[in-house]
Amino acid sequence: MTEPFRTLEPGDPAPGFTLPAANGEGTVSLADYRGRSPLLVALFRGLY
Amino acid sequence: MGGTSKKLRSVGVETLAVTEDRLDPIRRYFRLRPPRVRLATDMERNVHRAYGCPMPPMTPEYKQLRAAARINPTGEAPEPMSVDEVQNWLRKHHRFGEIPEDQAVMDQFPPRNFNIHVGHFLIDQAGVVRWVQIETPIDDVSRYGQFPTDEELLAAARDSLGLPGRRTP
Repeated sequence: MTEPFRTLEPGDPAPGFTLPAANGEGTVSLADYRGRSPLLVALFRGLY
Repeated sequence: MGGTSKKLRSVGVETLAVTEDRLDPIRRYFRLRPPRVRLATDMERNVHRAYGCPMPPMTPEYKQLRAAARINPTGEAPEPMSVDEVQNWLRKHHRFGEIPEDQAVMDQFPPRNFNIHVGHFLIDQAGVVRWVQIETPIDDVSRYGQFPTDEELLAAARDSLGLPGRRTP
């Protein structure tokens, strides 16, 4: 069964997140960038 | 994405790549092959869902689409191939799987019944999405493996974020 989904569109608020860093320790949050710089978020498949 | 992130940074845009790998294997992998881009992992794929990356189930129809497609997304393969064939070809071409850390990444998931189509999102400083590109729709694999080029990303950043060099409509 396909999970219902709606792809974000221009003008939508970007949902916040905090995730473990994969190339180092600690976490990374969308909030780290807010008010600092625009951000490209690239959401990939796993490396398998 | 290292080269891409460097170019985007030159126009004031940061880059964050998010994968779905388990934390321990992916940290070991990137200790050996340090990426040139900030990288996080979302093992539960909550961000992929929240942002709306298509997650097609591995139905017989989707498997048939993958088998029937003839793609060469990076242009590196000698000829267009099915999705699975080109993935295997690229793994060998890039010598992925030759060290234990690669194998640990490859073995981390049991066979699963869905896939993920990749999404790129430009977000402004206020936290508003300004540009979106999805690899390929949920019912189509013709653009599988094709990601936006550096030139496309730079143009999108300039146009959607109002950066210098913006193209006039």
